[in-house]
Amino acid sequence: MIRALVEGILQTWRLRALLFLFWAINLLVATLFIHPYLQAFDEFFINRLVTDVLAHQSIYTYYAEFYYYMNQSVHSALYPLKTGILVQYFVFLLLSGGLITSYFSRKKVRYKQFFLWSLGTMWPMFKTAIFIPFILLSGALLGLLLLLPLALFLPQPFIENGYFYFFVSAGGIWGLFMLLVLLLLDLTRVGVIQYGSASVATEFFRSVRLFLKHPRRFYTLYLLLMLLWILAVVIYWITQQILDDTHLLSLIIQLLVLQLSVFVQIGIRASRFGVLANFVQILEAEPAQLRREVLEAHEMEYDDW
Amino acid sequence: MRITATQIFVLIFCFCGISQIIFDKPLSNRTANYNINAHLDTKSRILYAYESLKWKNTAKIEARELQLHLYLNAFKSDKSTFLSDISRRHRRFFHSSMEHPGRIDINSMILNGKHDLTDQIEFIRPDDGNVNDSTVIRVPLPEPLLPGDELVLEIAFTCRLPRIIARTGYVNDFYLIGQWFPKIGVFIDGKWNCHQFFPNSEFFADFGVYEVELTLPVEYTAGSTGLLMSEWHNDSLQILHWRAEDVHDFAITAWPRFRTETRRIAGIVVTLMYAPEHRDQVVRYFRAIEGAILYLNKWLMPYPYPSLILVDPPLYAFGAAGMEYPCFITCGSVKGLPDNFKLFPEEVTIHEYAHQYFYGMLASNEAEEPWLDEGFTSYAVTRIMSDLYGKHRSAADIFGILKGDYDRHKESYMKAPDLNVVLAPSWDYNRREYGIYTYDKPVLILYTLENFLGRNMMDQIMRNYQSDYKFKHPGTADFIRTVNETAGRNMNDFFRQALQETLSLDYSVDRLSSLSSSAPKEADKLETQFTSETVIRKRGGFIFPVEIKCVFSRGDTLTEHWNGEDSLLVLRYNRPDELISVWVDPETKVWLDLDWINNSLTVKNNKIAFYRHWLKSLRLYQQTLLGLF
Repeated sequence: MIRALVEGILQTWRLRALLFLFWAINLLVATLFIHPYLQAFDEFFINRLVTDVLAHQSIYTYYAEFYYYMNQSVHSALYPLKTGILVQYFVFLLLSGGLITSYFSRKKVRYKQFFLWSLGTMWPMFKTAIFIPFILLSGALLGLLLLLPLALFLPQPFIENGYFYFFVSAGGIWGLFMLLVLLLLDLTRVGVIQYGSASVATEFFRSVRLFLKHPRRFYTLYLLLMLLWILAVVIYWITQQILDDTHLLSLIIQLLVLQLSVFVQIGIRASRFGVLANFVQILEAEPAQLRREVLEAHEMEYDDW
Repeated sequence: MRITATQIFVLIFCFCGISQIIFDKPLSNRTANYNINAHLDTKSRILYAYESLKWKNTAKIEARELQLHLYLNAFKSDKSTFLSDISRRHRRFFHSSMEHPGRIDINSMILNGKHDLTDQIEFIRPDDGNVNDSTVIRVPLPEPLLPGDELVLEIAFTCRLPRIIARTGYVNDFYLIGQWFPKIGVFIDGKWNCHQFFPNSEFFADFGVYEVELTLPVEYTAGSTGLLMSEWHNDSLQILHWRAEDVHDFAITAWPRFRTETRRIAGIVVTLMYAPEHRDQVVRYFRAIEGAILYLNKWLMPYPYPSLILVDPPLYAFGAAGMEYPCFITCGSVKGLPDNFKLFPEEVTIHEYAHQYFYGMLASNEAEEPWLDEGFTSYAVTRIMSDLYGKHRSAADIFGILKGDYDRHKESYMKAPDLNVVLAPSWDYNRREYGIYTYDKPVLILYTLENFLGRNMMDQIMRNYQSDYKFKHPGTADFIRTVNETAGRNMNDFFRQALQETLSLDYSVDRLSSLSSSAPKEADKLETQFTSETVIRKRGGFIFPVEIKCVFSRGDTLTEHWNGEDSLLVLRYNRPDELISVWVDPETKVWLDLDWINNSLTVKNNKIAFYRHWLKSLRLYQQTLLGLF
């Protein structure tokens, strides 16, 4: 497991040119699709002296006025924001095919080849892939449906304590359940590339079977990867809290720190494919290794005999 | 051991007469004085009680009848004025209450120990004529009560407590018993002021002395408006005897699981009765109440009562949270609530305590002029919260976005500035309007006035208003008179616009331009001259003076004063430097101004603000997008 983790991360580092591409797409999509919203903001505050105040503090009243008096513009800006989310999702989904294939390749990956792999592996399954968010949503709802009715059995009159601890623990359990759903989806994507399968459903069930054979190891590995991501977000959050944001230079530093954080996060997110691919290969190699070891042991015994 | 009703009353009468005097000298005229003996049956949720009301006619005209409130009857039927007035959405919310209705029934009424008036009780509907409403009764007197004379009315009554609604009733074994006894109206100038119970209306009553004895199961911990004078208990029951002086209402709470913590703050015995699961919130409660007590003692007048009860109900009885009664407030919190959310418990605690001054001691007519209570209280709370926790972060500080209490009120008012007037009876408002015109707009009116007159002057006004009218039921005219006399200027026009009309106010700088020309300065030199012009517009009919700050390119600053009477003001300058920025109300004194952003124009704005916002938005959006990878 540790070997898969370390190798996955090292492989990801070797694919940093691809990470750069993912980061660039993230930045491009964000910049393009956030533009109408920022334009509304600029239009509202253009040539207004209140910007002197907003340069130092984020006072709610001014934002409230902005959202109220610019309601129509802000509302219109929501469509590009939502579109950006969809665009990013589909582009990253498509490119994840190339990324996963790159983990299985021993050669240096060229961009052209990467795009061809992406189109070749993920494009045929796009119709199925569209349903992935619905699968996630269904998983989330299913988790809630399973957990929430339990609240009815909370004892009275200690209901607030009951609620508090129930919701904290239910939230935790739900999070772990969602993690499992995500793990299975990622494992499916890795399986699709590894076995060149044309059916997402077949791969999903294969992933479930594989997971059920080694649930503890798979889960721990995926949880570690997720914790690594959370750690990166927390470190960034603390860093940007410490940094000043009232001068141009400090804002530039903040922007650079943000982009570095996004790059690192993309790396951590990407490495999960490498780690899972390695882990699957290691698991598949295990029976053969075991057979070899048993055989060798037999041979030794035979020799001894 | 089973105790009979006779035994209970024997025990109760054992306690009669054991009463000390709290104040050496009465603080109020003590018009309506109550002696109440009650027994709470926690199985049937019924309160059996006997009330002896001693009432004095303080008017200059004889009283020919009495009018009393029976507030609990508002929850008797969904056709009552209270329940039929609330929207369908709210009615669904209250539906569960209708499965556990509340009511109060008068079993007998004896006047001066000899006249049985029980059969002469008549339900009246002075406000809306709703025949299904039974929250006010009238009883004719056999002979008129002359000015200055007193009568004693003995009433036996039964209350069926509702499941908590409008901050009274029970949930499981938790009780908040408010508006529970037959309460006499206020007789002013020969007329009874005794309104029906509306969803938005609160209360108006005369001051007096309350002696209350309550019998309830021994396992309950109880607290009330009054000072605990004595207690007695056996294995199953306890009798608690409270006394309160110079108050106009009496509320009780009881719950077996209450934990209590008592501290002495500025000479006041403050008792927090809290749900055990809110142990982590106790520090916040005491920090807030201490801040409020010290602030109001200094700002208005020292709190005169010896005790104060803070009730923190459990989550399942959260409907009881956020209510004021004399010397008794209900607050509210939730286990594990983070510190940077200050609405609960800090703001609610301070709000309900501030009511002690406006609802409690001034005791204005909350039904007819609700802004005098809720508006003044909200203004006081906003000031206290701002001074204690920061003007722009007193409500919340979430991810670097600062929200103050003033901001909160301004945001609500901004969205509906002209739906109704402030000076209107509570039943004239729908729920949303009630919030805006009795809480939000009054805060902005009073804060604008404070900025206009100066903080010291406003403090003096508030102190004078409090000291001149405490225990006297002042009205809006009394406050305006206090303002005019203290400030030495006539503010009638301001109050007329602010309180009686729906006029709004929005200054905006519409244009800023400069044209250059060369003009001879000396014989041999030419100096560039600039003709600068700015156009300032006032939208809405509200007239209020304002300052305008003009900044020129060489650093000169001019402050212009505009009376705001016209809707347009054009300022022109011929100077050797150009006008580079104009700011109407640069110190943001006029909180009634609907849009502050358009109050200024500049030829060069601060780009850092834009970059900050871009960065924050980009951060949020990029991070959101990352979640999809």
